[in-house]
Amino acid sequence: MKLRIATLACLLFASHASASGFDVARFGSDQAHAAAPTPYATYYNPAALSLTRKGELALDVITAIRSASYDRTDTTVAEPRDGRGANLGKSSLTDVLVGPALAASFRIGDLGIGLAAVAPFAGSAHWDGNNSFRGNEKYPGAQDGRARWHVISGTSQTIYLSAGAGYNFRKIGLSLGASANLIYSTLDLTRATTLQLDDALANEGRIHIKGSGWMGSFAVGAMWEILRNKLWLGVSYQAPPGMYDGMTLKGKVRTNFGTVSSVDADLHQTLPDFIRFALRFREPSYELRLSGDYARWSVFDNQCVSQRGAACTINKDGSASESVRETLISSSARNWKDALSLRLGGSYYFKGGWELLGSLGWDGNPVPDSMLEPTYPLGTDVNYQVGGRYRFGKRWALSIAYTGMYFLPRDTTGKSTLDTLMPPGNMPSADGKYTQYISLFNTFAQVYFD
Amino acid sequence: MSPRSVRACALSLAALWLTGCPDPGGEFDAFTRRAGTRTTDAGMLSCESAEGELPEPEQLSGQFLLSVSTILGRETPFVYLLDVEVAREDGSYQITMSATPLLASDRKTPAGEASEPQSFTVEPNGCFESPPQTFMVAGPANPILPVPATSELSFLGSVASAVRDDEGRVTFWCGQVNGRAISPLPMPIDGSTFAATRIVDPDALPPVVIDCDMTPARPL
Repeated sequence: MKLRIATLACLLFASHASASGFDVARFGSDQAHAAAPTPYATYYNPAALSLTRKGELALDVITAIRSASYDRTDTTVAEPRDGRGANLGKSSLTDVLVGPALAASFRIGDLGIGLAAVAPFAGSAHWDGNNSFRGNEKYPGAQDGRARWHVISGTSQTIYLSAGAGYNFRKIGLSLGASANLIYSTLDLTRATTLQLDDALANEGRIHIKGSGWMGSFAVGAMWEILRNKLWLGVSYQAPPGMYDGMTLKGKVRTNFGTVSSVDADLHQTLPDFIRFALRFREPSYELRLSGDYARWSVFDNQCVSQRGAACTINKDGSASESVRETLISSSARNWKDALSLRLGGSYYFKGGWELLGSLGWDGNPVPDSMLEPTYPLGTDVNYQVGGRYRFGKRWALSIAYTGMYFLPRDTTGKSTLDTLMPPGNMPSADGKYTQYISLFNTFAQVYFD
Repeated sequence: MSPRSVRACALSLAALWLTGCPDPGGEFDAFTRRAGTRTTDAGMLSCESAEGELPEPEQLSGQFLLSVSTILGRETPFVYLLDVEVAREDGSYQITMSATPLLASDRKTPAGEASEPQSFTVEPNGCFESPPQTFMVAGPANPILPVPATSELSFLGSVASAVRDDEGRVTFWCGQVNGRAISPLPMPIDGSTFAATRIVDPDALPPVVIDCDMTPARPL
């Protein structure tokens, strides 16, 4: 296990804290949700922009420390005698990642306007290698570790540049809002593979996929002040990146199957839309919050790479039409399912500008046992947050919060179906035991311009 | 972390939109340095050293079991029925070939149409290099992955070095295949090999070998 100190030097949006899947929208900590009038409402619920202060700038620097392990318990092709331990056994991962989220809001009367630059989808992984095969000339790929058949090193980020507005209809206590997102998404990943799409050591090669693309989406929301100055209900809808046609990232794929090649390629994937909700109850000395989201991860069925301009539709059983197979470069079956996340928390306000905040949360599992693999070693997690906030006069506030996310251990031995999918959608088996824990630090600064 | 990724991080830092420090491209390059490439000259013929006389046209014409063993999977060749016609006119020795792919699962059942007949000229010393020709095989004829494959191949060899029987009839000839895979994954496949074994009895095809050393293909 190697602590990737080098990553500390790099600000990164790829915090691993998830609501579900690789949705990492945790900027603003517990103080940002679908019923919170902060600048991050531009993303969470633009209706809440109508209730923000006259002017506010928010910067949340999120530091995530993730540790995970994967103990591979089965292979698709049996290890040869001189390759024992190359494909079976434990891998681990420790990453330290930092990422900022910046937002600003302005309110004129009952109209609130917000701008935000955030990265709600992100992931990063670099699994450790296998020292027992370092320098092995017969199996030169094995030193990249036992998780390599799914990922050796990879990052993906989807950054939103958003502008939104919300309007408060005071007489009825209802706010409505909408926002538009300009989205930049990238993916960069290297993994081991063979032309037969199995994990035979003798045929081991590499594929490096790198692509990026711009797209758009929107969000709409409503917020109802149920009890004046006491109780608010917020509900929002965040459309999927690229709207409903999925995303196409353009880039290059390099392969090494004994001969190195490079080809222009398109990566096709569809990320989910979200319904977010939150209930906020406020008294002078405390606040209670219940928030959550429903993510339609079932649309994330495949990450398909084709030659540039070609279609890339893979059926759930891995099969594909003749024309798709002629131009298919890589297919990673996902077949995820929708997931729910819930969080219950609150704040207590002390005299002198101090606030104590905390919450308990639960994130549902979007990844079926049959599809789980080390690129996204996810599952159900339970999490908690503790933190504090201090107001420096009228203009400044600083929050520091810690979130611990414990992912329930998973054992998918005998359950992975990645290698039983029909070609060309099959991959090596990802049977194994998975653990993961994430420590997340929010350093959240707010500047007010009232 | 490679210098390239350090630069990338620094640039990203300046822009505040930063990518991570995991270096997937560097990992790919590192593997390429470790593994090298699989080009080989095993079983290659050298036209410079080719010996023997050119067979008479009727001694080479006929049907052969052709294997094309690519560097992507040496032991699992593409297998074809190869029809060969040879003509000698005005001192020119010309071969015309047409290949019908066979099922990868049994290496004997035709799986698709024969390729367009292609003609090329053999040098006086027996050497030949066919112009690049497009070959398409259906998924069931692809021994590496059962998806349709298209490639552009050029055959190099010498018929002067062909193995003949007592009557002078060519029973085996072989050589190198250069070219590129076009789909599903474009890549060069220079350094591949071919081997053609005469079919005496269409109901009992000869064993499939993959190069001039008559290395057997991996059994089915």
